[in-house]
Formats: sequence, C-alpha cells, structure tokens
Amino acid sequence: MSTLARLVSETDDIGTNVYELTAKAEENRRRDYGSSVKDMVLALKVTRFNEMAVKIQKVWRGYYSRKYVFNYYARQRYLEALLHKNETIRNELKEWEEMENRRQQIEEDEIMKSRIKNWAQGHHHLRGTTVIPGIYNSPYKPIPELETQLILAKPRVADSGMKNRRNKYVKYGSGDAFELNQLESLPPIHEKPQGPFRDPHEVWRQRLKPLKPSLRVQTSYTSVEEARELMRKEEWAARLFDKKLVPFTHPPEKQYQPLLHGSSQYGQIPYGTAYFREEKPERFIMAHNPKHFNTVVPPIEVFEKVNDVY
Amino acid sequence: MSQRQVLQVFEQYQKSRTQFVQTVAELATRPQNIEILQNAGVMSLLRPLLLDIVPTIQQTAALALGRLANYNDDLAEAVVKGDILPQLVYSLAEQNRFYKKAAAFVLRAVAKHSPALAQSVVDCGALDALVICLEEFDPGVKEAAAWALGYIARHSAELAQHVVDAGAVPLLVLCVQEPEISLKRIAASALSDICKHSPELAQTVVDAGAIAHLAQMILNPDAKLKRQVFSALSQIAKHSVDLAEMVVEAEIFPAVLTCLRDQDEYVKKNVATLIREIAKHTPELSQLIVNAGGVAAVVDYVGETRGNVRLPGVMMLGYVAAHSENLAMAVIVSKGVVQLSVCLSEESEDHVQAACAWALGQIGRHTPEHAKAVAVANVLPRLLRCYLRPDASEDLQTKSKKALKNILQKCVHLPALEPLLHDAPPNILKHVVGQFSKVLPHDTKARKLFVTSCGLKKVQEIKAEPGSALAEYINAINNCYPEEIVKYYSPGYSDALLDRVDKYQPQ
Repeated sequence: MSTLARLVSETDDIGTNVYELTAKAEENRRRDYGSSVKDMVLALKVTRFNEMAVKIQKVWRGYYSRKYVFNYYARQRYLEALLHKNETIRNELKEWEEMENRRQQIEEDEIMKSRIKNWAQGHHHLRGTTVIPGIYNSPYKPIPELETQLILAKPRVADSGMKNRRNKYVKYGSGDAFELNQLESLPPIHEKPQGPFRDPHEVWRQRLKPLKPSLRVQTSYTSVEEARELMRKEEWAARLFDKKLVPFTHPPEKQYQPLLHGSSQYGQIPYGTAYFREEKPERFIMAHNPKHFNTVVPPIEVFEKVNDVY
Repeated sequence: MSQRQVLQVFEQYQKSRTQFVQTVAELATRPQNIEILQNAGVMSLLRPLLLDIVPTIQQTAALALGRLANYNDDLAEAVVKGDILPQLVYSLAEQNRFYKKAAAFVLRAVAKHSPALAQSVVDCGALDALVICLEEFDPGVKEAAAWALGYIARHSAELAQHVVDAGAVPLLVLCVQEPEISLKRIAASALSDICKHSPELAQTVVDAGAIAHLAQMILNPDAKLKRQVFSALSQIAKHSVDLAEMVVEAEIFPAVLTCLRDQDEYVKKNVATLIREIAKHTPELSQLIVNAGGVAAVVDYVGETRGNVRLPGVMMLGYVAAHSENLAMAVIVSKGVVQLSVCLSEESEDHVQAACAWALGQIGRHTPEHAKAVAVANVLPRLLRCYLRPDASEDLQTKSKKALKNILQKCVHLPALEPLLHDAPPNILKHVVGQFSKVLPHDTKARKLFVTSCGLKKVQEIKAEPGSALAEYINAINNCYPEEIVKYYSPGYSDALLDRVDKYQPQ
C-alpha cells in the first residue's frame, strides 16, 4: 500500500511534471518558432533587397557608363552622321571646284581673245587681198583662223604724241611695284614756250571737244515722212484682222455696175462721172490746124487801164 | 657766250648723268652683268648720285642700288659698308613718293639676305622711317615699306620684336584693309612673318584685330593674296590653343575647305597647313574640324596632290587621329587609311613617307578595331618595306618601326599578320608572334588555320634566344598544340624519323 501510496505520490508528481514540461515546451516552441520565422522573413527580405539593389546598381552603372564612358550606339550614330556629312561636303566641294574651273576658263579665254585681237590690230597690214594672198592665209585650211581675225580686226589708228604724254600720268600705280616713270628726255628748261601761245592742254581740250549740233541738224530731213511710214507700219502690224468687219444689218452696197454704153473694150469711159458732154476730138479745129485757133486774145489797152488812177 | 650756250653745258651734264644711272639700273637687272659692274666700282659712283639735285636721277640711282643689293649678300654688305643706308633713311622722310619707293626697295634688298644685314638696317633707324611710310597716302609707298618690314621681321624673333616695337602692326592691319590687292598681299605676308616667331608676337598681331580682316579675304579670287592670308592665319594658329581658338572663332570653317580645291598649289598647301595647325592643339578643335567635314576634304586633298604639297594634309590626319579613338575612327570612316596607304606606296620622298607612316601609326594604335582597319588596307607590308629599305632615311626607319609596333600591339586580325611572319626582322617579329600567342589559345578556328597556312611551321623555324620574350611567345604558341604537331613542323623532323627507321629492329 505504501508502495502504492509512494507510486501514487510519485505519479502525481509525474503528472504535474508532464504538464509543466509540456506547458514549458509549448511555450518554448512558440517562442522558438516565432523567432525562427522572424529570422527567415528577415533573411528573405535582405536577399530581396540585395537583389533589388543589384538591379538598381546595374541600371545605374549602365546609365552612367553610357552617359560618361562609352556609348556604342551613340558612336555608331555619330559615325553614320559623319559619313553623311562627308558625302555632302565632298559633293559641295566638287560643285564649287567645277564652278571655279569654269570661271577660270572663261577668264583665260577672254584674255586670249583680247590678245589675239590686239595682235590682229597691230598686224592688220598682213591680211591678204584678192590679188595677193596673205601669209596667214593657209591654203590647207578651209577657214584660216588668223586670217579671219586679221580681216575682222580694225586697224589701229596711230596715237598722237599728246595722248602718249597724257597716258604717262595715268600709268602710275598700275601695280608694278618698282617701275619708276622714267622720262625719255629731260624736262624742258623753260616750262612754257616763248610767245603768245595758249596753254597746250587748253588747246588740246578744244581739239577734243565733242561736237554739239543743233536740234535741226540732228534731225533727219525726211523725218516727217519717216515717222508717218513708221506709224503706218506699226498700225499694220498691230492690226489683228485684215478684213473689215461688216454687220449683217448694213450689208455692203452693191458694187457699181458700169453701163453697157459707158464701157468699151479698153475699160470704162468716164461718161456720166467725169463729164456729160460727148466729145468728138476729130472735129476739133486744133487737131487739124493749130494756127487757126488762138486761145489767147491780145489785150485791149484801154480796158487794161480802166479804173487806174495813175 | 650767250645764255643758251652756257645752259647747254648744264643740260648736257644732266643728260649724261641721267643716262648713266638709267643704263646702270638697266644693266643691274641681268645677273651676268653684276660682277662686271661691281668690279667697275659702281657702288662708289652711285652713292653721290643718291644726293643728286634732279629727283629722277636720285630715284634711278636708288633703284640701281636696290637691284644690285638684291642680287647677293656681298653686294648688300657693300651697300651697308658704303654708309648708304643712313642717307636713304634720312631721305625716306624727305623726298617724294617715287624716291621713297626706291629707298624702301633698297632697304628690303639689303635686309632680305641675312639676320645680320637686317640688323644693320634696323640699327640705322630704318624702322621708324618705314613705319612713317606706312602712313603715306600712296599705296605704292605703303607696299614697299610693308615689304621691307616683312623682310626684316622674317629673320628672327628679336628683329620681329623691333618691328612690333616700332608700331608697325596696327598700320599693317590697316594696309590689309586697303583696296589694292598687291598691298593687301604684302601686308598679309609681313604679318605672317611677324607672327611666326613666338606666341607673344602672334598675340600682338591678334590684338591689333588682324584675324577678322584676314578671315574676310579667304574667298578672294586672287590666288597670291590667298596664299599669304592662309600663311598668316596658320602662323597665328600654330602657337597656342588660345590663338588657334581665336582663328577658329573667325568662322573660317566651312569656307576654308573650298580652298583645298583651289587651282593654286600653294594656296592648297597653306590651307592644309592652317587646318593642321588648328587640329594639332586639342581634341575639341580636331572634333570641330571633323564635324565640319574637314577630314573628308583633307583626305580628298591628299589624294589629289603630289609630293611636298600633300605633306601637311597627311600630318593633319595623323594629328586628328592621335587625339582620341573616336577621332581616329572618324578618320577611318572618312577613308583616310586607304588614302594614306596609297600615299605611302606612291610617294618617293622619304619625309612624306615618314609622315604617312607616322599618321598610320597614330590611327592604328588605339584599339584592335582601329588596328584591323589599318591592317586590312594592306598597310603593314608597306610599312615593313619602308623600314627595311636600305636607302631609307633614319627618320623614316624610326617612324615606320614605331608605327608598326603601335599597330601590331593592337592587331588581332591574324590574316593580316601572317605575311609578316615570313619577312619581318626579329625586332618586329617579336610583336607579331606575341599577338599570335595572345590570340591562338582562345580561338580554335584560328589555331587550325594557323597550321594549314604554314604559320606554325614558320614559327618553329624561328631561332629565338632562350629566355627572350620571343622564345616565351613561341612557347605559348606551342603549348596550344599537341606535341606531335609541333614536332612534325619542327625543322629536322624528317631526319629524326629517318633515324628512327634506321634504328628500328623488326621483330
């Protein structure tokens, strides 16, 4: 019994112990589980944040390096734009060069032409005539160029001395740096020739004075006729329609029909228009003997003096 | 004796003096007469005639002296020793314009020969008198004075400084604005001569406002004027970044490119020089030129010209490419490499070839892509030929070697490297083999191709000193192949095989 009592007392203790232990374990379990879940959540959060941070860093690094270090596509775009620009520049330069060449060519042609013209003016005496062919008149060419130039050129008129002297003053400053103007002869000791001469420049100016004709001299003698002719021509040219417009309400009058007896085989006799009296010239006295008929009667002196007071 | 007879004597005397100076001046135009004239003592006879009472005789005597002094420096020195210069300087202020012109001509003729002679012209006080002549009304006198000042300034920085100190620069800038073309030309040339010595002198010219006026004349139809204008601008731009930027700010840029197609060779050359001088300073300036299409224009220019004229264009391409990989890419894209390669092979002069080699080296040294672009234009064998040519100048050799090295160190385009294996000398071969040793371990196809194109065989034949860089590279290459293949391609392998046949005992 005592054993039983001991056992009972012991088991009673066991029961409380079990209960206590269970309660404790439950408590611990709750605490531990809660903490481990918390830890896990935290760890998950950290990994998640790290991942996000990596993403942000990735984007930022990409942005930064593209902006400040190197951007492949931007360079590609730049190089393409450069190619385009190069192409434009090349084309423009080519056009400009062509234009410049053309300008140069024209300039050279002009100089050459003026030189040939100048030469031809100086050598006009070498042109051929009908009797003697010129030395530049090549028989092998259909149109010898130099000969044509010679024929076309106007021979140069010899300069007078005064013109030369005037040119000398004009010539200065024409660009040649050290061409001094050297007088051929010494300057005259006396500036002016002795005598009652007018200033040579004044004389020269008078000689070169342009002609000033009066209005009457300038006008042509037949100017009125010419003007009329001109006006007529202008009118004719400016007319749009040559036939006169005739309205149907006023039909043209019928053409004059000549009378039968008024016409002959040589045309119309102007009887009835120019005269009405029949003429028979073969009966005229004058036709046979002009002496018999004097149209002029000698004057009667008395009649002439009538009413005269002197 | 009547008055007329007395005067006749004077007239005769005057006439013969005139005739004398005129004849001497005429004779002095021909070089073969000069020595005879000198031996006949023409100097001592002309000197008193400089003080003659008749102006014509004075002028003609000065002209004759000028022509003599122009001929060579001995005669110029004779003029200096004869104490003629002070007389001339004195009368520069006094006389009429014809005499001034002739006197300035003598000063110019003396000053042009050497710095010492120019210094003696400065010493006798000619600068002030010449500067006063620049203020003259007559353009001919201004021209002569500007010309003389330019010739004095051209010799050295010190002489140019003297010219600047005399106050010539503002007046020269005014002369540039005159309507006469020849005066503009000479004033621009004088400015260019002053600018070329130092940044300070160039800065004084810039401060006088020269750039704007010079830039206005870029499109002038006169070729000789353009030559001088571009020369002056390039002399200003060459000194510093600031000055170059000032030149660029005058908005010269699309306009100068047209002058690269000018008819005149010197205009083209001077324009190319100007572009080069601007491009060489900074990447930004180079970029500006590239963006304006300058590189394409210069590449065309290099293609169209020959010899010395293309040199500044070639150098400009090199400078642009040297600044950054982006700019080098721009040169490549503008077909610069092909043009330079053509230029390298068709030019006969060493210094032009050297410039081409340098420029190509600058283009190819940035990245493997650049190096590939250079290598596929068949540049490497040409550079090698330049390097190996027995009659090549030292400069060409060093430049082409450096260029080869620069390009090879970046080149991973193996087909272009292969030919070099066969005919490069050891110091170049080192770099070639080095590139192979870097590429082959990572590229299977290339390894196979290297064997089939006999590259491996060639590598085995190289006799490298053990321990040298070359030997290391060869080892690295050998390590990426099976042993049998390396052995197979080693020289003497067939003998070794035959030996084995001899030793083999059939069982």
